[in-house]
Amino acid sequence: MFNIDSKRVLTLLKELCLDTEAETWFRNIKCGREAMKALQIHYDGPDESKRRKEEARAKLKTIYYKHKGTFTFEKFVTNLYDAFQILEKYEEPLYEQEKLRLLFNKCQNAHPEFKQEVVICWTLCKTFASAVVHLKTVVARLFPDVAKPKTRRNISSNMSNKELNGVDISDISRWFDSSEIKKLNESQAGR
Amino acid sequence: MNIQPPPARAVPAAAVAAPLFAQWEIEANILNLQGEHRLLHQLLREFHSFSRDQCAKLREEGYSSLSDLINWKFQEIRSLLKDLSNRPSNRGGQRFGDRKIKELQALRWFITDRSRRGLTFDFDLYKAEATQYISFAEIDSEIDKDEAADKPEKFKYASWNKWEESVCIYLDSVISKNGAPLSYVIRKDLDVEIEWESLDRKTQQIYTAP
Repeated sequence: MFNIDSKRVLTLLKELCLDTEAETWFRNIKCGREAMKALQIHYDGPDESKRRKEEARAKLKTIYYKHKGTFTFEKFVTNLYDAFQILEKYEEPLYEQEKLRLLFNKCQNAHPEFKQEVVICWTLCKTFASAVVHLKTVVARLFPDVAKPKTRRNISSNMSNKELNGVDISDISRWFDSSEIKKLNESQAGR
Repeated sequence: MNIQPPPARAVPAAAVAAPLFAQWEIEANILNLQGEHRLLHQLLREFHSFSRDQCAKLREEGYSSLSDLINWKFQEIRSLLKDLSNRPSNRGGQRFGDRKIKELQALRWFITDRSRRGLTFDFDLYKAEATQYISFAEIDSEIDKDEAADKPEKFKYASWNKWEESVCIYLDSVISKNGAPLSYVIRKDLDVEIEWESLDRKTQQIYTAP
């Protein structure tokens, strides 16, 4: 029975690693268990784990929440948690106090009420999870989602009015005479 | 599976009729049933009140010991016993009521579950919670029909941790030939200090499979 199951796993791994660099590492192996072990040794061995831990630590150093539209509080805490998880997986977990210290120190939003809430949270919350829940509520209250401004429209989006400066542009592959070219150039002059 | 049946007593022919022995014991002695065979006979006759003919029919069909019940499929039990019930007695028929079918399914579920989790057959535990196992057997038969999780994405070096986890989740949702989750094939070594009893059912199954 093991042989049948092992073959099923091997087939799955082959399928998932087809045309990727990973297939090299178990090309000659005929057992699913051995194939997965080979992948784990290569992609999750001591060197790789060291690299991942360094990456996680670097992420913890550089990550901040400053309320920019591109990096929301949700993304910030998810990244923090992700880094904690990696360190935990490779047997270097952080103490809860250390997690909390990182969370609060890296909340560098200048909003006065937010700053005040961080201080309150520091005294109230004893775990990272509870602090995140508290701050998420604060963020939702202080910075409600605002719709992003629309991006500038290009000439290609002007499908309804298919005319520019008096020139028909509904078919851009047609022949434009010199006067039309001149008008089109004039229309682009201000850009 | 380490099954420890009650010791068989050597009974002199004169003592067979003595009230010292229960009916199932007398029958087991006459049939010379030992070990798991004797235990199954006791469970069916004494605890579930199967008739002597019903027990004989099960033995005739090849289910004479506890080990024979392991991996017997839920639906197959009903279909076999229904088939036997519908047959006339002169053509090997034997009636099994719905309750008896459910009790046998529950017993099969309990024995299979203990065997897949590397646990010994606990006679007292079974007796104490026998009714519950009827529901467990039914629920498990429904779970077996559930579809597997979505297949993992193609391998990506940058997201090894997530990819490995997705492979484990997928294989966890696929049942292997021996009834354990297919993820047993790629299991990692278990911490030696961990207590077996503290592990959840799925983990026990994964680490019991070969």
